[in-house]
Amino acid sequence: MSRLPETFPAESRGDASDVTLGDAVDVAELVIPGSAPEVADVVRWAAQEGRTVLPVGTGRHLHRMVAAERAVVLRADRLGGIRIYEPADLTLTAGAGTPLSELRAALAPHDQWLPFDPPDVDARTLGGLVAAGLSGPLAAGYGRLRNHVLGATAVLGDGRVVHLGGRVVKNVAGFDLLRPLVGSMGGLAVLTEICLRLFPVPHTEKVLVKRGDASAELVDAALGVARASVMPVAAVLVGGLPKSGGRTALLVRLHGASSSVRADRRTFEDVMGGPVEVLDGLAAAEVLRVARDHPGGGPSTGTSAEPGAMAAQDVTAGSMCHGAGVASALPARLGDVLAALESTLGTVPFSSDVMAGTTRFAFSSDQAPALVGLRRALEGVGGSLGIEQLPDGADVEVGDAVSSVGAGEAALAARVRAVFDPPGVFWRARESRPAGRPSPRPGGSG
Amino acid sequence: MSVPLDSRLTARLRSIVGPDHVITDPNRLFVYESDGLTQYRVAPRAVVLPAGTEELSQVVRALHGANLPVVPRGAGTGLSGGALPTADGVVVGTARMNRILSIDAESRMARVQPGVVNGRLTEATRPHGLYYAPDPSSQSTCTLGGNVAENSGGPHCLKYGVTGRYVTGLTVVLADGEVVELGGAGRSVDGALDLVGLFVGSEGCFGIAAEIEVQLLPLAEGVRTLLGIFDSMEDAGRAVTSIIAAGMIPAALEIVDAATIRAVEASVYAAGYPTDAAAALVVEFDGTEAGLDEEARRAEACCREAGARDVQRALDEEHRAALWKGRKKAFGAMGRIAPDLLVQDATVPRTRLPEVLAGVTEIGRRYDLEIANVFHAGDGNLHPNIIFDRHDASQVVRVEAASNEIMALCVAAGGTITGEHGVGVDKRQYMGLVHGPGELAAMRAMRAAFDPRELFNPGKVLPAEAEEGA
Repeated sequence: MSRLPETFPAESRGDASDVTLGDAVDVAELVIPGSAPEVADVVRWAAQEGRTVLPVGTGRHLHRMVAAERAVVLRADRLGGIRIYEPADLTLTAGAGTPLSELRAALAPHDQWLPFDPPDVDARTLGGLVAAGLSGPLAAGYGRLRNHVLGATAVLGDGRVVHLGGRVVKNVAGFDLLRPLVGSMGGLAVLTEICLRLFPVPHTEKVLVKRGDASAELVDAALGVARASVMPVAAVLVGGLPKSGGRTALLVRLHGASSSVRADRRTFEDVMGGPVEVLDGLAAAEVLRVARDHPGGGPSTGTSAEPGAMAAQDVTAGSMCHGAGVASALPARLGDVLAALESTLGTVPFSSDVMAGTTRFAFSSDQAPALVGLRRALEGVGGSLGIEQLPDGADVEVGDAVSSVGAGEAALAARVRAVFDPPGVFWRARESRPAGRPSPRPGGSG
Repeated sequence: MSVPLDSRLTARLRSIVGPDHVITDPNRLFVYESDGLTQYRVAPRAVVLPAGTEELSQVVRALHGANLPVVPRGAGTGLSGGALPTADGVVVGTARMNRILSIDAESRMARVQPGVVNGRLTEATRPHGLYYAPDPSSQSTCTLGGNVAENSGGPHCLKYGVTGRYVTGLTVVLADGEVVELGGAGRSVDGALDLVGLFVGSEGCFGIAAEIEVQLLPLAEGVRTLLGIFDSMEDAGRAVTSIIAAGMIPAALEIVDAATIRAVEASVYAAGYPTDAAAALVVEFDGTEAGLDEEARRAEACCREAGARDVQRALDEEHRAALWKGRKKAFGAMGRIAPDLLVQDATVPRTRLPEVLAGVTEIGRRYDLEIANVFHAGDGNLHPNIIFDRHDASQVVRVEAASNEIMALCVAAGGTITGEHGVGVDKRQYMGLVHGPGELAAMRAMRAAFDPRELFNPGKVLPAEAEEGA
């Protein structure tokens, strides 16, 4: 088995034994390239050798059910740093390996920020965030990440380096090849540099919190929030909170001029009914952080690649919980989604983005077989099930548990994939199978 | 003069859509010869108007079978020639696909056919307290299918974003007639690529959107509109910068320059803007009623500190319409005074606007052309409008040369060749300014992934390979 060529810079070689990405991934090489041309060299070499390339940010969020032999893991640590930041333009260009915590620190003195709040956001890199395509509940007020990625430099599967988009907020010069890269999980290209739109820090922030014992009693309040005549910038319903006095909480986040926030607060207090706490400052930040990283998340473990970011400490469901799933449906179906969770898995910790209709939840390996039924229930209400992370020892075929796109969309996606990655060098997520069709064992489709 | 279609094909098309909806009479084809970019005119061989997804699919399949180019068309309001027919091809229009299929007020979604007029969706959803946010200037006539193809913007996209932000799912008909569902609200599938985002803005080259699912927003409770009058464009630019720096996100931040003000005031659309002003800035806030006066006051202070000669705040809806008039009627007014008007479109980083505007003025002076500027100042999206007479051959040559220089200027400032009007036929020649051969090759390959025979809207967006980098 041939190794990375000797000509490759020593500072870009990592120790493959530092990386663990789960049982299904055999990491043969760890490369930490310092430039797009270096990435291109690695990708070309890997394609020639028939290896699979796995680009990772910090690696700790690479949760998916990856299966790869002799994988070449490409870590973005040395692709960090802010390249262009003109505060008055409200745009920023930085290397893909830049930690979001570093960006936040650079933006704060200018009263600017990135309104994205997926779990563990500060432990992610810019490239990792964009590759995962995660926006978080703030998408309600600010739009999804995909709408704010203005440009990127990417290395394609054949080693070509392309510059997509630009650094202006409105740009329709040609086909938008940037969009499919957002959320492509490193399966189409390696992102080396990214330009994002920024936002001014809101003048006033308030977080309204209503607590309850069971999620059912807050579902109506949550649906009321989703239908209110004004939109919060985010609304989250969390269940299974560890230290909250109640087991469930509905959080409504308001931004804007102080007088409008005051008026919106009155609107939502009426909609939510009953006692509502109003938080700001550090108290608001803390409750938002807990909700954001719930269920799962946890302290950063540094830059070493580590699967299983789902930490047990925030979970009160009783068992050690290492699985994470995402249940989606239209926002008005929130009650159905939570009922489906309850009836298939029992009581599990969850966090629902009320405005988007997506619910992240934790599950144990014992509960994994029930995911197949959950998928069926969700698809029955026009929704879908995704799995972010499968716990060790889970006895379920991934292909039976996760929802899939239709055959036509899948065929088109395969052609689109081939445009970015002609040799097929980048890793693929295991694909799902249409519901109801039994899976061949062993092996699965991945 | 284009060659008539084969009679068997014509019969087949008539059998699909009905005899009245296949247009081959040259007198009726005339209206389809161009879109909003009227410098280019080509008569198609026929126009076919299907009534729904199934008819559309069958029509496209039949044309694919005959290996004929297909030019999709919405309302034909585009300004880059995206709907310009080809002499050997057929225009497939969405005019009859004009039904709002469903409105889900609880989840704030609507599903529409592509021929639904943008403004009609907002009218239909208003009783539910909802509206469709992207509002291109042509919203009273342009269609949502056209908006999807062009990824259209509008004056309020500073706060609300462009079409792509609101499209959650599509049913598309590909070049061979296959019907494919892409995305869809309420579903997020592991590992699925954002093909909806890829399709939006594909200018009719990837297929035709047969059904469009969009997100709606609750109507804003209130709105405040200010008009600032400035003696210099630099002052107006400083006002914009200070409003943004103060952390406000107005719904709109629009500037018209002296030439535009004079054109408007000399026309039937006279809005009462002072004709000796160098710039007029429209600032609009919307949202919760209670916060609007606070924001308007802060923005007014920004304008005055930047040296505004006068700032007016709209007191009622009528007054608001009056303050907007000079901006909204700018194109119409210039159209009245000029035999021809070339509406240019480019985006630059916002902080580069003052120097780019100065450069545009200089280019106009050098080519002895009158250029009037209207721009979405908040996004750095400028529309230099060149007034000319197409019957004056030397002027046409100068317009072309000035356009080239304006595009090069914007690209050199870190900008791009089109912010919201699309590439169409008009900007193909500039694609090499912003994209290298590798990027263009990737776009070409992507087009082939959707349409291997390149039958959909041929000759649009991508430069001919020989022209690349020219």
